[in-house]
Amino acid sequence: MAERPEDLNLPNAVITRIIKEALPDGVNVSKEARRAISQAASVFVLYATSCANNFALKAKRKTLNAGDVLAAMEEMEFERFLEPLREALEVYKKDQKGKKEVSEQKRKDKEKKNDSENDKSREDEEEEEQRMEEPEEEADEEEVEN
Amino acid sequence: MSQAKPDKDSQASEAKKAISLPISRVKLIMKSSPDVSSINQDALFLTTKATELFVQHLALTSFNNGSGREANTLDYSDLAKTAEETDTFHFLTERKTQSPWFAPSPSPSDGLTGCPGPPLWLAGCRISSFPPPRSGQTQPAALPCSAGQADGTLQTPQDLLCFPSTLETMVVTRTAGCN
Repeated sequence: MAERPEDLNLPNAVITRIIKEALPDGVNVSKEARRAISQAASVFVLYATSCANNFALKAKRKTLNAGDVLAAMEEMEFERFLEPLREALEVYKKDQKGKKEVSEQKRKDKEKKNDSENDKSREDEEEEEQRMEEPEEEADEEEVEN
Repeated sequence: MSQAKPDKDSQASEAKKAISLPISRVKLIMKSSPDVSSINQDALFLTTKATELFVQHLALTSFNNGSGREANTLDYSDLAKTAEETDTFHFLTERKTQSPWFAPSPSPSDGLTGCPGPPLWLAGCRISSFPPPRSGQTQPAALPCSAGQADGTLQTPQDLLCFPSTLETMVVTRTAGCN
């Protein structure tokens, strides 16, 4: 839960940059307009969340998933976002998968190394056990809790 | 960060792939909704991305419909006009008619007045970062609040774009402590 009012604002610098990228070069965006857009973005997040949550509730799920958010966009009549969102999600998933593979590869390499060293010392074995207990960082199904 | 930054083009293409808004902040806003229990990583990513698209869309639509097009400016009044005239942006102004989304509590119309009192951080909101929602007159002329807010209703685009208060009212009605 947000504890300070600023927590519900999005960072101005980033919002300003996004606005600039969207508009033709050289457009002057007034401070009030920037603030209004930023506030609208926060309202949008709440609206989308609420909408997506309704879809999750209908399906008797507690966790919002990608499908809920996409359904919410449709419901909110932002169909125009669907395609770019799907594309972005695909890239994002690939990225995550890539990272996962890289980290798994690293782990395997280390394990191999350890395997060969295990003959020499028992300590390495313990180390390996510890590593196995570490949670997977990039699990796709990971739920975000508070 | 003392390293030379990559040139603008590569930054832009980077931005297309990923997102520039902080996921953690978006998550915080989503979590401020009392009936949301958990959000998976993909949903969080999508919401963040969607918010960026929304910002672009709102800015561009307002600029194209706005009066400042010749002068190459985007002003507050252009946004207010867009929020009023464009259906998809109505949710920014019409909180009450959209009650399915914004009325999780049994008496949403009570708005702020129905609450025992906004949490402290919301009270702080009014003083510090937001223009005072109910006393727009004291604020520098730029954000004229309309009278509609006296009873917690939000009807005009000015209400929205005074909309610190829209956000606030919404958050209050959606905050678990307010029944």
